[in-house]
Amino acid sequence: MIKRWIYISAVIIAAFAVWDASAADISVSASVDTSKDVYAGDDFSYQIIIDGYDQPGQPDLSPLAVFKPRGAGGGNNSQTSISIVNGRTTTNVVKRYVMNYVLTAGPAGIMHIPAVTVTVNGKQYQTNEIVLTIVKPGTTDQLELEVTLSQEKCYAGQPVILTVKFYVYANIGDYQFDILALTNDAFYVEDNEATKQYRVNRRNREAILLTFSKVLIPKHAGDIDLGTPSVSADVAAGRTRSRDGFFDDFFQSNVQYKRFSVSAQPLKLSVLPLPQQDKPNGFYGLVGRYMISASAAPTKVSVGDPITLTIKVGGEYLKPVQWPDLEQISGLSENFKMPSQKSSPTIENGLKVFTQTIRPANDKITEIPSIPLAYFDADKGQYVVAKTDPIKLEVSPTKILTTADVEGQDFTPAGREVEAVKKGISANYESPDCLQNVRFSLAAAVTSPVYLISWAAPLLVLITSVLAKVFVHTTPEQAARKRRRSAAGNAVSQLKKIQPAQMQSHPELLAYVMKQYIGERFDKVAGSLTADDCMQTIIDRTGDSASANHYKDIVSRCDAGRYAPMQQHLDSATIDEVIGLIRVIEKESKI
Amino acid sequence: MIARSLLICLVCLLFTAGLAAGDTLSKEQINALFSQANDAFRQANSTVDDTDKSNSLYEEAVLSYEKIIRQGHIENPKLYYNLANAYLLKGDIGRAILDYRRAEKLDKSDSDIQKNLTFARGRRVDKVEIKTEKQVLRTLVFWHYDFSMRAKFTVACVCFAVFCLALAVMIWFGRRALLTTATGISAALLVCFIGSLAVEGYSHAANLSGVVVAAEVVAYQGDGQNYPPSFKAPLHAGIEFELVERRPGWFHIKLADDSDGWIPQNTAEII
Repeated sequence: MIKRWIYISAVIIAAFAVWDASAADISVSASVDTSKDVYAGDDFSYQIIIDGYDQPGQPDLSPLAVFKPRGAGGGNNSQTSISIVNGRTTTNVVKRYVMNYVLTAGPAGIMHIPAVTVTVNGKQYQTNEIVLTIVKPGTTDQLELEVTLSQEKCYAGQPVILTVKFYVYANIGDYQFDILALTNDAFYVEDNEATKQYRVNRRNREAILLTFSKVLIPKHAGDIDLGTPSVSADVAAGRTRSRDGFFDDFFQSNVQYKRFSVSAQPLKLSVLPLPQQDKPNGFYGLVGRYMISASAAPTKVSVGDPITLTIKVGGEYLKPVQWPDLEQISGLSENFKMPSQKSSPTIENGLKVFTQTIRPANDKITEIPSIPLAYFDADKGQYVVAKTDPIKLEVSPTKILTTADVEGQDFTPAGREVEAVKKGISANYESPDCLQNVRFSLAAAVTSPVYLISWAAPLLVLITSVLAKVFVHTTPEQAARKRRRSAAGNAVSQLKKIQPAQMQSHPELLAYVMKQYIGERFDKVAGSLTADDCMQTIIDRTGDSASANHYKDIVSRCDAGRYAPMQQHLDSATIDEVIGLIRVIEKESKI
Repeated sequence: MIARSLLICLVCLLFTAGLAAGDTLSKEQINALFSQANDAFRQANSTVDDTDKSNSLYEEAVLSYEKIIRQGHIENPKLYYNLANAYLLKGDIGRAILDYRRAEKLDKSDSDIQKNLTFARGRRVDKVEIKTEKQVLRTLVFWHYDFSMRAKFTVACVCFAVFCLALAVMIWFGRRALLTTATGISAALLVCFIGSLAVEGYSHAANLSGVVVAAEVVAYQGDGQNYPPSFKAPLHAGIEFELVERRPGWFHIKLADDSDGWIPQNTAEII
């Protein structure tokens, strides 16, 4: 009993050892690309390497959250090597899977990237911690940055232009702006001028000027610190020498860059609240200076006729300009029908254009009333309501067509061809057959009475015809063929029924059977056959003259035996001879 | 005890019967609903200036037509066509195309359905190129695409009857030129229509089609919103697709140009 327990324990320990050894083959590590300096705020590559396994693991990246990790794919880097020593092949497989991520470096200094837990094949592993030195870009007089605001004080909602000027005095590679105002939640940021590049002379030095501007629209009142804008750029610092100097010069592939950073003056913006006093109705936050005008066409209409009303709004910054609220304008909503759907405005010649179709509801309307636009004039510090001029209209009652109008020839074009419009939609069905259920199932249709009759009845007719033809209706050829097939069997059967005693008393029985066989087998009339006919027929059909003569001889003897039975020696052996002859004839017969 | 059990059974039966009765409509109710739907549709058509009112009337027509289909258990191409017209005039392109396709499935030979379906397709935001091969195939094997299953089955039955009867006559009276021609033609047509029925039956069972009914939907490369989008822009209502796979809450769809993606199940309907 003790021995048995020791044995079981040994087996369990051995199994654990094997399992542990296989698990111990997997190891997980982390690494970063240190071939280049990593500057503050730069993105750099981070890899999780799984050795001993060729499938991706499941890393818990939460410890790296501060570095904003982004997946950059992964791949199986396993290697297989085969060595043959003294004819013996050894295959060595090194399994490895590499998972790539991109992290963003923090501020300059020593940066610790913590260990990450990776689940591989159901088991958790820890990567190593990585210590990385984040380099602070140097400063240089080869770069210069100017960032200015169009004004330092503004009202909430008032657009402010931020202009960026970046002067470059050297050959540079990549560059990156760090301007807090463009990412600050306190503003709506809109494009103003796209990036342009000029060659300028600044402080007696040739420089390249990169410039662009953005529109900042402050959302709320208050003092906003916009920090110190800066730009970091890779500036060419020298060249490395190599053997292939020509190609290096041509492709500029050997230029060495070094990261530098320069800053502009700190920016601050004081945002004043809009006054609550005298705020007009319909004001929705427009700040600046705007003008509004309107036109309508046609101005001489009947009740219900469409009038195209065009409203144009001009100003410094048109993006926040919204559709005028026509439904709230007294005299417009009551007297005109306006669809609720509105077309999108367009920008034409620096004006925002709104187009709407309106229809006069009665013939007492004399004008389209003024359309207001409320805005806050930041220069004057007061609200202004700009208005369009009223548009005079002549609205006549709806014209009722009379027979005279219809018959009038003066204005009706004659001889016009009628042209059908083929595209479009057809009208609804209203007939009662719309309510007929036409659901169709193939299985149900096959067994439905109407369809069943349509396919089963003809099939039945066909099957019946075939059967009738096969079993009932036979042709003379078929009958003859059948007779030929059964001739030998019938003959042998009848021969076996003849008793030896009968052979002496009624030898004609044997002759009858033999002639009948020849008749049936070779399509002859048995009653009219003679012994010679039998012989000739057998010769014709088999070519066996010996058998034919023998057959003739027996038939002749039987015929003669009818008149002199005692002189003919006929017995059971004769029957056997005849059976033998029939089998020979059957065998040699050509038909 | 037995009496009590019987009473409970009786109540259950009555309740079930009541439910069943409540779920279906009588012929009179169906007729009344059809009349209401047509009236609402006509009124909506005559309301020119008031979009809200006309939309409300179209919606009323839509509800009535849908009630006839769902609760009246009536499948009719003309009914689906009317429903699709109401959706189209209401501005719901996705559901209009869906119901035109359902109507087309029941009757491929109706030119009005084809005309309105073409018009609705022309108003879609997205344009998906249809493969030329399919159009060529559509012309070559026209009977497969243009005939309804019922029509094909009827023609197949007639051809089968002609084939059998011609053969039977030939058995009794021998081969005649007319009989041989009739047998050959009917056999050829029978093969064409039976083949078409088999293909259509298989494709109905295996290849489900659908239409995007949501105004806008982003298709992803997998069954989750963490996958990257499949197309540069969202898909819009009315896009027709073949259903490749169905997973909980998601459809894997293939468009006519063979591009594919996954969309949430509630943004599309199967025809």
